[in-house]
Amino acid sequence: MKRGFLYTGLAMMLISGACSDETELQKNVFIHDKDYYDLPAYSEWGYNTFGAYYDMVPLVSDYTGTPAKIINTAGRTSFYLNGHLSSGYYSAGTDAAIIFDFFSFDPQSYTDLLSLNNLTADLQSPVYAVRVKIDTATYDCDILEGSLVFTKVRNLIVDKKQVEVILSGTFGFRALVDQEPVAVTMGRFDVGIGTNNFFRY
Amino acid sequence: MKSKLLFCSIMVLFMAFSLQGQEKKLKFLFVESGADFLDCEEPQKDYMRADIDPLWAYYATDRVRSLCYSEHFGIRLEYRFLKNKLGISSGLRYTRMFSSIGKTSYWTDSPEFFYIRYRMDATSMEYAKVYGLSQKASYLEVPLEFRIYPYSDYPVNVYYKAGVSFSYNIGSGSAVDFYEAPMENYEAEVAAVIEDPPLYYGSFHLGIGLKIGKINKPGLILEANLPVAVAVPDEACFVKPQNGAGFQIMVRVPLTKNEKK
Repeated sequence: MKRGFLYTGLAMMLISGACSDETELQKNVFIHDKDYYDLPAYSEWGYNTFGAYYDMVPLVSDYTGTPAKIINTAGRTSFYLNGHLSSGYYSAGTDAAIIFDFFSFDPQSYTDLLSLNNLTADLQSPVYAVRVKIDTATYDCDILEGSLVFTKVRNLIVDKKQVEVILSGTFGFRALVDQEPVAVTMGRFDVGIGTNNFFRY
Repeated sequence: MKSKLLFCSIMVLFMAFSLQGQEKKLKFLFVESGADFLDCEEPQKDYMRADIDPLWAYYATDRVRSLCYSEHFGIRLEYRFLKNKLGISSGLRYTRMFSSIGKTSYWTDSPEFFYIRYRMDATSMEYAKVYGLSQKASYLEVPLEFRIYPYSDYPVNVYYKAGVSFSYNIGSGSAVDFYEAPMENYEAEVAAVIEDPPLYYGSFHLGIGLKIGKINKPGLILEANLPVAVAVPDEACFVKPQNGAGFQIMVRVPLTKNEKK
């Protein structure tokens, strides 16, 4: 029985040790924008934040948790930006996400994301789609106009080892969401994608 | 009433200066050494990824701090006047300032690592994991100090002081304490991101001293400086010291013989 506890303890220590790698780089560094205080300032350092105004209400990343995921499955690669919709960064708000779908992009690993560098995606194009998730409901967006720009995509290397890829850029669109016109403006993201938040299955 | 008060004040001043003229001025040579321990601004730097200002829920020890202390030694001459109750002194000091980011206390290493961005190009950004950054800087310092000796010349006595100093940098070096030993091969490149120390700085301090030894004999002096306030130029430097406390140990040698107090 004691040996069982010992093995369990050792296993937990190993798991926690493995998970603690580069935790500081995975933390969110939310520096308020000078002009749009509710949103994070635009950055390209992998601060793991994103923000936009969803019909003038701030939709921003949480202080903890993974703000971004890339999921490549069933012929679609989805770029998730997860956060909450609220009137302030520190208020609880409603869980919300913006999901950009790519139908002609098939990354095999997170390092393939480097090819997104300098890409401007016209969201009206049929090779892209946008979904919005508010609380538990997910809505397909009928895009009226808008774009997603990957301003800078760079490898993040720590002690000469590749850790993740940093995606930085901007977005904005006008769309019909659940038959209602919605404007998403001033969108910006600066997120790291690595083995923990890149999925292909 | 006012005119009487003014007259009395003028008379007291006149008598004081008259007595000063009759007194033989005392001169002393001080050989001194000491240290100051200074609080610094938070290390908010673009090239660092670390917990500078953690949430209240985190332990304070997780926080990455800037620390700074300085050591000095030097010589100083003091002239006494106003019945030997007031001393003015100046001299020259060699000061070494030790600055660090990452250490949790002056003499212990950091238990936590943080990240330094040292290379960036169009396709990649490179960080090094470090326990800490440190810098040693040498300064030539010119102090100007006033001491008030209000009490009679007992073998052990207390006095008060106020002083300022100006320090000019004459050299510096930086070092990196890496998390991974193989990264030491890149120390020059990583250390290059560390800013230079201030080219010059000024300081102000108040203090209290304990003098051991009669006035006409060599003596030993212990001084506590509190507060010590430091002003550095408003430009980027590795750490920005602000204020703190210090101490000084001095050997005093009278330069005038057979003096009476």
